[in-house]
Amino acid sequence: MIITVENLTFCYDSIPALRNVSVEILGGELVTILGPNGSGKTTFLKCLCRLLKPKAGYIHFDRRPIWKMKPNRFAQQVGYVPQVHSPSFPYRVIDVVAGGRTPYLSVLTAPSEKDYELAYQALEAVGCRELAERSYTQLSGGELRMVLIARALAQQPKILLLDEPTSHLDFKNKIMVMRTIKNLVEKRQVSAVVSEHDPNIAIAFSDKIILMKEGSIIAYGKPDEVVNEETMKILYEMDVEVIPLTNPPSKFIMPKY
Amino acid sequence: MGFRYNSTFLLFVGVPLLVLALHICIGKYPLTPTIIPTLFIEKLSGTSKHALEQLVFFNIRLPRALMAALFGATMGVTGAALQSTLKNPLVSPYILGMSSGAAVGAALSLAFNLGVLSTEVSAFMFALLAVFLTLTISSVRGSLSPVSIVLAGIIVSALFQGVLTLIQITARPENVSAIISWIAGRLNAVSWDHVLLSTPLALVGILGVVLLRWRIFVLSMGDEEAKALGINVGRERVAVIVFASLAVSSVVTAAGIIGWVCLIAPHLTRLIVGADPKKLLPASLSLGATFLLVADALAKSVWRYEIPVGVIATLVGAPLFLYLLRRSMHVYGG
Repeated sequence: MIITVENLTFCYDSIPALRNVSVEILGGELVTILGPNGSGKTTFLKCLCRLLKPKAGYIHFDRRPIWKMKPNRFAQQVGYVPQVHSPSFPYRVIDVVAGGRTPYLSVLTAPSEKDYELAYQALEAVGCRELAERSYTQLSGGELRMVLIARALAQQPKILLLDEPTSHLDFKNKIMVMRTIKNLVEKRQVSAVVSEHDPNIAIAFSDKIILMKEGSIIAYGKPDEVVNEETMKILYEMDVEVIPLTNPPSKFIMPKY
Repeated sequence: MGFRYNSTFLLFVGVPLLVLALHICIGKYPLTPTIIPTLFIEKLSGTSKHALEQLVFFNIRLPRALMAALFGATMGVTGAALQSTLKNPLVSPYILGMSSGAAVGAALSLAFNLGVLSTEVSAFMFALLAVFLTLTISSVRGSLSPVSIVLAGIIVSALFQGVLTLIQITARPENVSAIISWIAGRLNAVSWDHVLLSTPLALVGILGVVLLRWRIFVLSMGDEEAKALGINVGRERVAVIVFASLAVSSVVTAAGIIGWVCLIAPHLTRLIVGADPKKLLPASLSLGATFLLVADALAKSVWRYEIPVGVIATLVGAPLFLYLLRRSMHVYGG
């Protein structure tokens, strides 16, 4: 599914958060948005999943304007994983994941056996089947993130939007989560748009990277094209050293302390 | 699995029925549970070997027991539904302003003998008016978010409390005591008229809420996530509130303002069956009915004269709620 964004502008009250953003994201790609705090990453993602209505410009999925789609039809196409989730009641993990079946249900029905089977499969796909019967208020941060990704998967979406999926996770879990997302993109041909703070993670996992600053896109392309000393300097207003890696060929961004 | 499911089912259907039978038999004039089938047969065949028992059973005990069960069931299920819908384990249906609204409506009618409006109709209308005000206020700027609804509810409740006090000050003393006893709840004065008037609306409200159980669960995930899952958050939250308000207003109108059931039942349910989104509402309904039947049975039996059931519900409910909250504190991040 192709995401086309053109001249997207969004303001909180009168403060602009996105200015004239235009970008095209192809199907089956993992695209990471890199940018400092307050650069508009989350706002951009929320516009993509219709949580915020832009002031100007448009977003099309496969040439169809997203605001013309019915809410449940839209949710069948787009899965969203929020940055923070505050659990309210101690639900079982499998019930939370089955929540992802909601767009396929009519208002008065609850998920069927088949919906639960799909929920189990989604948990399996993120490697967390054994969590199914646990109470989701007792999960670790990494486990909770995986469960929320599984819920988005249960929506059987064509597009996954993940808002800082690696935030608050430890060294290993960050990699686990990104590997899972990468895996899903490759196996299921979904597109994923991910916001991220760590340039090295972005380089390691993305097909393309969007550099975003003060609500505008300053560069968009393959990791080795867009990430270098100059762009990082512009993006973070900080000097970095780019260390070339040989196996596999890549690069590592090191801040100059 | 099958056995567990059946035993749960038995627990949540059998226990309330048993308690209902016991409730009917408790009172100044003793009835034994075994006589109940006989009374039904006599009633149907038109014979009256047990005329006195028939009178006690059909005219006094049965409507009261049914009303207590209906009231408890309504408060249990709507309490659970609203706690999830508003993402707040401490919410009760009364937070929407219904109780204060109903009290003002009843007080107006009792104090000034409005004539055209019976106490019940007036209470019902004002209860719904209060909920309407709450929703209106919160939709103006708060876009019907849980916090804005709770805040608006508190404001509306306070407003109606003020009006209630004003009515009590200006009313004649004998009317004031009528108002106070109306508010305290009066299952003891319930007649078939009350049962028949409030049952249809209560059942409509309960059914609506139970049918929306999965939407209610998704709403408890937070507004953004519910939206991302394809839910029309504002509209579906209002639907839950409207169904709950219809049910609560109709039983409160019939039996007065009895608290605590709406908090105890959902929390006890979560302790017993867990926070299962499909079982929570039916189980809370059953536990609510059981709790109020027990409270009312105590109300009519522990002392020489009857204690208002609202008082018993509070005396039993408050410590029980404290215990339940302490048991589940870690769940809510305490």
